[in-house]
Amino acid sequence: MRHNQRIGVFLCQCGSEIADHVDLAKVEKEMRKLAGVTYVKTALYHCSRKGLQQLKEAIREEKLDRVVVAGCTPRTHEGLFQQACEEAGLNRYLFEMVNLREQCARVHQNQNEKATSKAIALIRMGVAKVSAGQAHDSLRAEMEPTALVIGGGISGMTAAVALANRGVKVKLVEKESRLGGMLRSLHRLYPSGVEADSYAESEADTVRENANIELLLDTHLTKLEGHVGNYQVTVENLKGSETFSSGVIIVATGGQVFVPHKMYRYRLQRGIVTQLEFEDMMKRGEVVARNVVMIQCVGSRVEERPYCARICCPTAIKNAIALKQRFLRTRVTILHRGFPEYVEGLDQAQDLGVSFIEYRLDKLPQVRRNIVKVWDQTIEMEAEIPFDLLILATPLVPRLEVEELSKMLKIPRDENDFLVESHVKLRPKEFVPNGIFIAGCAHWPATVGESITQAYGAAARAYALIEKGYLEREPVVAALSEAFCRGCGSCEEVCEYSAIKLEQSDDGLKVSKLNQFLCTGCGSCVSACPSGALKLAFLSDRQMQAVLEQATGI
Amino acid sequence: MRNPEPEIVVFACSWHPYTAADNAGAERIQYQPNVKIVKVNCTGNLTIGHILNAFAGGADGVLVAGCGIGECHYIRGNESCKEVIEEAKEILQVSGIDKERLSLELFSDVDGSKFASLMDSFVDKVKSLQKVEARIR
Repeated sequence: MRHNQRIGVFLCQCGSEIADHVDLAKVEKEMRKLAGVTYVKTALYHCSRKGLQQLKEAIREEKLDRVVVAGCTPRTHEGLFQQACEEAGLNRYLFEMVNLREQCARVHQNQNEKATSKAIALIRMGVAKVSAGQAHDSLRAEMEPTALVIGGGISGMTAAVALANRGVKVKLVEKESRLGGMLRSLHRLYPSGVEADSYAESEADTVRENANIELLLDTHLTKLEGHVGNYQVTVENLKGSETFSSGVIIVATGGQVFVPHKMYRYRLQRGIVTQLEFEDMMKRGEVVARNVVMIQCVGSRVEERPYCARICCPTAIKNAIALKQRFLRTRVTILHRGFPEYVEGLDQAQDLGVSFIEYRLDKLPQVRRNIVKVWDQTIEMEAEIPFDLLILATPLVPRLEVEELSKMLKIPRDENDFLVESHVKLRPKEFVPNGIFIAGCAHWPATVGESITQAYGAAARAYALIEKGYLEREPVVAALSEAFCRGCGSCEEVCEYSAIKLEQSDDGLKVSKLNQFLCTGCGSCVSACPSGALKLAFLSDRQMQAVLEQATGI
Repeated sequence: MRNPEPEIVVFACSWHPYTAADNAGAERIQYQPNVKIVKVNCTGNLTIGHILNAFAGGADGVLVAGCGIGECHYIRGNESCKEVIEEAKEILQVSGIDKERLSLELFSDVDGSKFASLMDSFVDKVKSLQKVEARIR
């Protein structure tokens, strides 16, 4: 079979890098003797523009059906050569690159004879591999033009409407009975002064009026399978469960407020509340207080939760200003550990008469029946502040359901258990599973404005996938011959990516089914299979055997 | 005539070990040319068959190089490879081939000098075995 092939071998001098230590003239002579090799060319730099041009011309003129380039490590120019081959009409899986520089010439200097025979062996290995190989085309999957948005808070609603306005059919799943999320618990937004509840309602109206959005309230996610372009989603509500497919998924499940159990006499007496509870009091008009003390960083920026939750300080300033504007004679004191740069309104608050005391982590404020004792960092004295309302600023933390969600969607979590992106600086809008995007407090404590921006970002990314209409990926995957499968399930056991599953047909026969789109090409299933039903498409046993025969030079 | 210099096949996964080998090249750290590197995506792909094939084809020594435990790009491929190596050693022993001829090395970094010295020490080890026993084919 090899004799009918037309293999081209391109030897690279790499300037003098390879040529100085390997006798390429001898190598060329040996290559011409190989069965199936019809063309051998030595050049100074095959990767140069001229070199690539000559490569493509040779493929066309000599009608080469396989190409081996022997030069530097494939980690540098393999892609470049593969592309050149494809431009000349040769499938990239019929191209092999042999490492003569990093793994031969450079490490075996001043032993020309031995380096040369090793080079010859290495190229023979490459020729054997590509000779026993086959062409492979890219995998293609259709993209379902539908989206699933999990969570009906401001982030979810924004993303759903953005996608729906582009013509995408969206299913919005919300586990509560109404839309709005945390907005429903807030009083007024800052600095606009907009009422959070009415704002949530008007956003909800926009969702309800959009014909492309199917709203599923009182519904939660129970199972997720499949891959980007075709996720199989199972949801459950009072009516039962339902499975549908979705092309992309946007996670907007939000966060929850940390409850400061056993801290600062919380719940041990009346008048000690969290910021969220205070918002509710303001909404109901229930605030009657002469002395208000706010303690910042309750349960955040400590060992268990080292992060700054970002929105508690702006909220405190907002509420301090609101209090003073309504009850000018009420004293408001904020105990803090520094404010973030972006906090607005500090000047306005000070002008209105709000007091600020900075405290230290190692000298926490102490709460008694109706006074707070605090060590004032600045004047180095202990202050005793009477209060009839104590507001504890606690951080946003991940929801309890996040652990299950993260496992279901295969999104990793960071050290604080928030769902995490691929890379915070290099890929901030991408998440590890390809077609899933996150917006809002599920990702990190975010303000309403930030949540909206993130939602637009997620929708834009999701739409980009949908608009293309299909997905393509390299066939660096396994291949299954079902005829050889004996249904033992070993492959399913070892696959970390759920790409291969054992299925039972109606007549009781168990056979594995491989979803190549989920496959990463690691080959664990191949080594686990006792029947030889699996192989790696790009490195079959036949290829490996051919390579090993040449490796030992016998 | 047998080749007096041992032939060593190195199965290197394309992540840490292959990069370490390239780094040895970048720094021009010299080692003995008896080794031929076969690149695999993950050592988890290797079967006992692959390893025995290498010996049957004429290898005097086989070194499998993977990534450190807990560092496998494909999560646990190196762990299943470890089991495969242990089984392969049993089979070699029964076949009369010294199991010292098979070695598993895990790389937690891409240090070129570590790779080079590993190659040299393995070649030397196999050389020391060379004189002692005859080959079974």
